[in-house]
Amino acid sequence: MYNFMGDNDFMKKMYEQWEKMMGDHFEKLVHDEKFVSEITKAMAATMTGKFMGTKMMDETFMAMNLPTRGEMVKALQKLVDIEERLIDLSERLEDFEKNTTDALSAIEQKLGVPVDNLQKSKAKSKKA
Amino acid sequence: MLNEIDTTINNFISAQAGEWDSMPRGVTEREMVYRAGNVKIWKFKQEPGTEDKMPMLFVPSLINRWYILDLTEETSFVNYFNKFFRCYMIDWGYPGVESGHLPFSNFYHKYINRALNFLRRETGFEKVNMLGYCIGGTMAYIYSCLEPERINKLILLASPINFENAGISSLYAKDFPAEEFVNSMDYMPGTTIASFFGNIQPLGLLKKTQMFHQKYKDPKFKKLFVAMERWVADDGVNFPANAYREFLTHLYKENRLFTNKLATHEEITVNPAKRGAECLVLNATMDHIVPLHCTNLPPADNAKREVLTFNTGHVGITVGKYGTDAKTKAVEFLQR
Repeated sequence: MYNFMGDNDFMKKMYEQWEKMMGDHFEKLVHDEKFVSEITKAMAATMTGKFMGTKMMDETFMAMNLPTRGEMVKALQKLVDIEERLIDLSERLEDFEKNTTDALSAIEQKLGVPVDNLQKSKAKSKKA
Repeated sequence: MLNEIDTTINNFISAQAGEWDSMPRGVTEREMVYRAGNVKIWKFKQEPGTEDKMPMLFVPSLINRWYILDLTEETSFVNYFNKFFRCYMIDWGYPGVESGHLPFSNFYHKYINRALNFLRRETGFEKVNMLGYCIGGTMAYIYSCLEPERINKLILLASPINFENAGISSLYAKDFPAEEFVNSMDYMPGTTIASFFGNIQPLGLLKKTQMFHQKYKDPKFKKLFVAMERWVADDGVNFPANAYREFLTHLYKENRLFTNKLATHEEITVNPAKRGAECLVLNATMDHIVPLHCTNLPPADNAKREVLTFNTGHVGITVGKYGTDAKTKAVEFLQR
């Protein structure tokens, strides 16, 4: 036990008793359904208040022809969506490039002709 | 005046923490090898003899930082696994308002998929071994149901899968005002999440202080204590709003994963019956965040599994004395 009471047995016991009592009490409290329900109601009310406040601010800014917080967040999120799409596309492209290189080297091995030569002759025939 | 008080308190704390005040967050040598948006992949310094081994991917929780699995040299999972495998870690970063609209499935499907695609490009392996801690385990499990052919073996470390009566968290999740939350917030602040976990053990802080007072002269204890406090109290992570709403309603309130009703944003059903990877479930008897029954796998899941229970708590299973047993057993499981 924490020893700030020194060696005073009575004080030690009293402290231990207090700690146990408080522990039990708070344990019961945080597990109590009614308490939890009230806490969540308070949270809901606070969040609604925050929502109303932000809405009011947004309307004021809109009236002044200024960009609102909501609009800026939406723009930021759109940017994230675009970034996500770009990442997906660049990774697909990378995979495609790798698959093409693998396929070309497989052809090269089978035909015994360097693929570069094949491509050059194809280009020549196209020109002709 | 307030600034002066703040500085004095900070100086006092730093003096108490001593040389460990500036200890790195994550102790194993590493480099960032991939980055897409907020998500990063860390590659840990490769040990000789592990070059051709199948990669090992760690999936940490979304509600706190990844380095709980690499807190100190003595307790680090990464450090231990790194002797046997090529280790990589997903770092979810610090999501802000920009990620508020992202669905939960982006994290457990899209981003893990990207990480595995990267590993395939880097190592040539189609499959990986995966270890998920806490919600990271939930996400790793969901991923293994969605892409069964990409996971070789799966380790779930104190991970909730069955959310039926999931302890005190489900009690608070039951009445959580999800709609009001999504309308008014862009994310659940990391500080709020941390204070929730503080409040569910009301005298936890007092007991922690008592313990510190009793043991602070032991340098081993002090090092771990300071590292833990820096992780738990000083480095909170925000949970993106839409993902948080889905996490609470789909998993905690409706238990969709256990009852085969979970689907991704793209309407792909998460089917545990499809899963094939052998799985090791590591759980803890005194876990007040993920009670034992919450680590049960869905009845539809027929894949081979092993369950090991340790007489410790949710964090104790990673950094406590049982953490050593847990990581030894996990490596044995992977080497079998």
